[in-house]
Amino acid sequence: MEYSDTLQLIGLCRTGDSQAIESLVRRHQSLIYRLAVSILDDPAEADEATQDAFVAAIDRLDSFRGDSSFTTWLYAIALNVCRGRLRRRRVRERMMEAVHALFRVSGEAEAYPEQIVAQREADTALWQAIQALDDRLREVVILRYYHELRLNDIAQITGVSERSVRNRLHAAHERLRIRLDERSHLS
Amino acid sequence: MTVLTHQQVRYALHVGRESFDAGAQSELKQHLVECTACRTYAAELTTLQASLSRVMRARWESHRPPVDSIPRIWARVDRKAAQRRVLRFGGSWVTTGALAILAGVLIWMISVTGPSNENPGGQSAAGRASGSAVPVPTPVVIVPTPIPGLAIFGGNITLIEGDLAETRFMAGSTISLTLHWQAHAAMTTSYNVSVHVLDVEGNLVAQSDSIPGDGAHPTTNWLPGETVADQHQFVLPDSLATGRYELAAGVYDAANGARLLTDNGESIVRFATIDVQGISHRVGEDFGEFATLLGFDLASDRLAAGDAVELTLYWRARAQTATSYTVSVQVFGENKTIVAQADSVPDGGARPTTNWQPGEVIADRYTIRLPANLPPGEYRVVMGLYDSASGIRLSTPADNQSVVLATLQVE
Repeated sequence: MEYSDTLQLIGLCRTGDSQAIESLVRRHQSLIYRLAVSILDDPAEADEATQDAFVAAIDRLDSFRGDSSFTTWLYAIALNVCRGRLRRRRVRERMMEAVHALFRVSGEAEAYPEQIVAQREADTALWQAIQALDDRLREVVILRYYHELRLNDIAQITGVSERSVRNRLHAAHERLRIRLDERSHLS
Repeated sequence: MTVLTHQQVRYALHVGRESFDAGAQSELKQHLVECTACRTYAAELTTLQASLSRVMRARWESHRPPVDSIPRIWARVDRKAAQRRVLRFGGSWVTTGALAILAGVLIWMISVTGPSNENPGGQSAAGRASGSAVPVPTPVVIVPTPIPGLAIFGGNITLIEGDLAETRFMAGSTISLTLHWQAHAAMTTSYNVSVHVLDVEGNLVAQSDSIPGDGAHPTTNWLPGETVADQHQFVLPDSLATGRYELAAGVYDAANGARLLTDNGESIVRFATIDVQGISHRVGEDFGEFATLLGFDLASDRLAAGDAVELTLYWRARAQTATSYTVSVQVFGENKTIVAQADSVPDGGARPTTNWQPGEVIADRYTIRLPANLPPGEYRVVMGLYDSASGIRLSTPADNQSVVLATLQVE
């Protein structure tokens, strides 16, 4: 196999070349941050996840064999990092709910960012419907409609077959439609 | 009404029409013309899909990584490398200590005197161990700067690189690549990106043009300093001859076609080289709706009795199928008698048709031994495809159930 520039760069990174590592990070940083923001929906946590993803990727560069594009490989690592953070976040949230219930913490309802950002009622309903999807369905919807990825790329990133991606996309659409129909917000 | 069911049509609408071949897409279109319910469903789905993109963009598109993000990533990479170095260093001290004790015991036992050839101390041993470790990156001060790339188009758009997962392709196969761009200033013009395949003499043999991000991320949305990963996927012509080809990229105004030039005055910039294996005999016959026989390679068409016919068929999958088909290759003599035959799930069972992915090119190899007592003469190699379960043969559009591939001369 011949070298493309990315493969040469990875080769240099494997030797610990600091400028190569910087270049690799710089080239893919926006892409990975964009993915992390979309999965975690939290810019600050996305920044931390981006760091985690690059540290993990540089640590595992030897395992990159070029079976997929480097971008796809990096996406898969970043997605795993984000999944781990989501799991930990949910544990924290459950604990906080328990504490709130225990001490009967009261106060004004939190102003969820989506209520501020979404300008239209229909968009708010759709946003809430996206958030209500299972993780595996939401991931596919985000990768398809926000990151504009092809089905085979999504399959590689999420580690499932393309057929599974199709089925998940189908299931996600159906659930979104049903939820929106229930709310009668689909324009 | 078309043969597609409502359920099949709706599933196709969900997963994207690009997953289906031209025939299926045509049927889908026809079904939508005839079926009001599915048309309404399609319209709703289109609205939903557009809304999904819009809502998620509104939510996240404005977010950018903090400016100090790269130095912090670097610090963590460096810290981790340092930790690894400490572990190696500590490990080397333990090893050195053990070796020193062992050496002392040996010296005492055999009472050897004189200068020792052992390494004098842990420090240098540790130094050796440290020196043999993976080189540790030196921290650098990172200042946000434009990324050096292959070329700058119109003084504003840098082509950083082209990212290819593989560089060897079959003629007729699908090539996927990512172009990495960086804009230096906001743009009011929407530019298209063209990817060119050039032969060794620089002749254009294939080209794919698109709005960046498959139309989802036009240059007018690029932010100054943003790096854009722009994915492209296109089919290489099945007529490409075996050889080396270059990939190049260019940028042009979508409205009037005017190309942006690089600082060197070039309209396209080469970014990768690929090797293509051509197909020596082209066929181009569709079998049913799921596959096209692109062509074949035949090791030799002049054989002797008892020789083996070495044949490779090249298929392009057009749609997924749940049916496992068997390929039948037959050698006919005069009077239409079969003198040799090989029936097999494609590629010796390694590539059943149920696993073929749309767009994929499959190399399907056969070795058919001719009888040792075969009389000299002309023999025809014919192939067909049948359902392994029912035995029903697939037909070509001309309603042929087999295709004559070649004529063998047996001497």
